[in-house]
Amino acid sequence: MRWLKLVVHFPSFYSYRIPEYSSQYALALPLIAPSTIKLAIVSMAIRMSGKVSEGKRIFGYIRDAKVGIKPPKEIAINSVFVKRLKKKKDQSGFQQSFGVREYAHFSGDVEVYMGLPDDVPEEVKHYAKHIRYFGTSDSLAYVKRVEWVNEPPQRIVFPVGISEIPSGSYIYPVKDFSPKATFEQINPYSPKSPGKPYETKYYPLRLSKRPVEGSNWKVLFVS
Amino acid sequence: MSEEKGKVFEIAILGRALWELHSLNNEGNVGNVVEPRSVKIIDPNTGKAVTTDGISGEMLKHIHAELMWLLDDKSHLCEACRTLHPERFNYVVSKNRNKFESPAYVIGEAVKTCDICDVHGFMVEKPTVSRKSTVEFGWALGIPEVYRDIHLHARHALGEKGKRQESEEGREGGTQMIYHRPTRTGRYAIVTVFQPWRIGLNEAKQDVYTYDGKRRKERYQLALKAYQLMFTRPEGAMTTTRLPHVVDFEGVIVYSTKPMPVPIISPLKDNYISEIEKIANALDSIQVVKFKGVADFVEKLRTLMSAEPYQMEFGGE
Repeated sequence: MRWLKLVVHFPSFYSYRIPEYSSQYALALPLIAPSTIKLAIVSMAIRMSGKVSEGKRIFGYIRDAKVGIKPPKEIAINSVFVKRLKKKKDQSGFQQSFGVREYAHFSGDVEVYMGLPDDVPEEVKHYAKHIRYFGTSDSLAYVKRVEWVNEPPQRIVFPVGISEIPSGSYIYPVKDFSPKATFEQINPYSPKSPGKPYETKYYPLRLSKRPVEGSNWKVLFVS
Repeated sequence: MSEEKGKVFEIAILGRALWELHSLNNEGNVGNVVEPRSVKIIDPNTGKAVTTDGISGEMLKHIHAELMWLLDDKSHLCEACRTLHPERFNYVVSKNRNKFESPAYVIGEAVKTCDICDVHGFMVEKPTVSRKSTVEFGWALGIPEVYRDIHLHARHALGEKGKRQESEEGREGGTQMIYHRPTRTGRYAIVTVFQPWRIGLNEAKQDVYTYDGKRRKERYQLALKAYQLMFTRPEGAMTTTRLPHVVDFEGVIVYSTKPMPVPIISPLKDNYISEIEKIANALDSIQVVKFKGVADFVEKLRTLMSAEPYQMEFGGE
């Protein structure tokens, strides 16, 4: 196995809703989920080649990749109140509504590590370099550097099963692909029913001290 | 910069805008006080967490879309966008559901018909399909420090002057109501990306451009003109009484001439321009154009108008 390292810069806010949480009260995931990273690479493969088959080929190589994140030292999370228009039920027109959305701001670049088989094609690195956002398209990102490394360094957060969560850590549920997931299940244009291509894991985040909190924000200090 | 005649894949505008006494984006009302939008950021220059002012990407995108609508002659807009209906092409599809069965057909028709749906994207409920916007905005973040003030105002009921005030002060229905509104003055870090190569691309089929060169170029120019105007005259919340004093805008226009994502480093960082220049020097096909002042920005962006939006050569399925 070898590791693909991505150095990701977020020039503004990052926002990705915690899976299964309400879109009206969208709490954010401060770490990028494994499925989000893998889907971003598949998306770039399709976009850059113009071939859906290329996305399917790349998906075959990265579906089971082990993903780890090296977060920056501090993460600020803002809880923002937003006014929205909501479609009226069974009537035309809109009604005023509201929601809450969280946004993360990082103190530095985020490092992503993907453990991949030795025979993985070099195109994976090429497509990873071209990723422009993770999750929602307003979470603009720029991949500053992509390189192969032998081992991931210390302080990497890997997603684990619920029984493996170390005590004393902050946990965030994330999605990863199940070992049986097929490309057709993740293709939004496929006529087939998607079934359940994902499984839930948890990022255990160790903090060096208690978060500092205000009425609509908090700062996490990562150890 | 000379008149650009080449092809443009992506454009990023990264800069610091100085807006004075504005109130472009607010959190909402708490009683009779309008709360300014506050966010916590980690200042990349000091590493310290600070509270500053924010203007959401939604607000900036809204300004850009409205300016595109204003500039458009309305002959290339769908039924919804002609009246700036927020549903965009979903409104058209929901009125003619039998006609729109496949996602590929929905995107194809939307992109063919409408300048705003093509450039700004949309979501359709049935069949479930979305088109991602080709213009993207991050939050505009106040570069510490932004000066904020809350002003006291009073509203007097007509004909009530001199009458005894019977109701509680500040209560609706009394002779006088007091309220508080914010203004802010500061430099804001701006991040936006425009992807001309995706104009007209039907992403449900992935490798098909729905229409040919001339319309693509017209839409590309329309989007650039809207960018020129939005930094000349930003229109957001409370502009009836707090139209921003536009003082300055300086930064870089970064564009790529081949399939290559443009570097977007946060203008919160003091050295963002030199970092972008270093990245551009290390990569082929990335151009960096510095601008100083609003007029210079408008002029420098104009030079990209004569370029062609990049068209990807796909091999097909």
